[in-house]
Amino acid sequence: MSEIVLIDKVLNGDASAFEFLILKYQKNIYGTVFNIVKEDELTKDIVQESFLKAYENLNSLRSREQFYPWLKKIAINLSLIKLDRNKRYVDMYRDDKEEDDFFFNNQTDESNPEQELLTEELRRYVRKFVDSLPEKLRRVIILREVEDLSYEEIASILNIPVGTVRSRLFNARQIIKDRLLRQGLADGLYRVS
Amino acid sequence: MDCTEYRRLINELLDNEITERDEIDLFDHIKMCENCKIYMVNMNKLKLTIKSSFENNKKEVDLSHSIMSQISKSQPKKVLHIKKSYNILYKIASIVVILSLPLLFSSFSKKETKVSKDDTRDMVLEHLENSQNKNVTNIAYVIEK
Repeated sequence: MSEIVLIDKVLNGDASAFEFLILKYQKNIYGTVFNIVKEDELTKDIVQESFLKAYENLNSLRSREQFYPWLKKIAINLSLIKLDRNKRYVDMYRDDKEEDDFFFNNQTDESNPEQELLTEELRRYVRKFVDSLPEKLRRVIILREVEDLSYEEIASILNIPVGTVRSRLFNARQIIKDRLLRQGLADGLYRVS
Repeated sequence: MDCTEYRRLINELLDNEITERDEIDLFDHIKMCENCKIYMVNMNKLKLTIKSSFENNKKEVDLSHSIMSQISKSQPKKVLHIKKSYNILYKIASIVVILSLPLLFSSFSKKETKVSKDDTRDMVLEHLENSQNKNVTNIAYVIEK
């Protein structure tokens, strides 16, 4: 059943059709929210709230094809509001045990396991460097690189000028790049310029 | 323009946010500047690495049951499409019309009965007058009274 049909059904009073939309998008929305708030329980709360808000305001959705981007924006906005309000955010991604699990679970059958390990190591450091950025820089980098939002969309969500988005992205990337170089992860993966 | 400015443009190019004019400028510069070319390769790689670093955060969660139970508790108060509102109005109007039909019929039938009684009486009186039978007329009036 197409998404547009499902939305029509919900709008005509068939609330059960909304469950298909939840099943389809909850994983992606979870990922989006978790990248911002970095806390499992808070993420689940926000995901639920986002879907409920989407359900209650479904009649304000202009284009039914745009349900997912619209839902994602609701989730991002709620995440940013909760993050500011709660201040529960701890500047850590996962504890060591989880990191170890993550490290081994993601090994693949690549023909070059050494290269794969190196790439995983690089990802782990990049994630840590992104998460340790000043919050205002971290937000723009997540919204741009992970959520693929345009400069204008980021500016609108964060309520800042487009020029500020541009400069924050530039600064954030410079910081990550410098840290990678200092960490000695440039060889082979990252050429020095 | 120096390399710092071109590196800002490289970021915009990789984000698909560069203007056509700046893009032409940038490509002209990159042809001549090896460092900026390397910077562009590095930044592209960094962007891809950041994206892939965060993609594993999509956890297998199922919140559908909990969300749906909250929806059923709250009832679809606000999820009323305009069409639905119209449907309700149509339903109410139909009920009103259906309920008022017997009333209309009864008033018509009463009127009809009254008219037919009057006509009959006039007809009888006319007939009696014509036949000049006053006794029968009086009897008819007595019966009617």
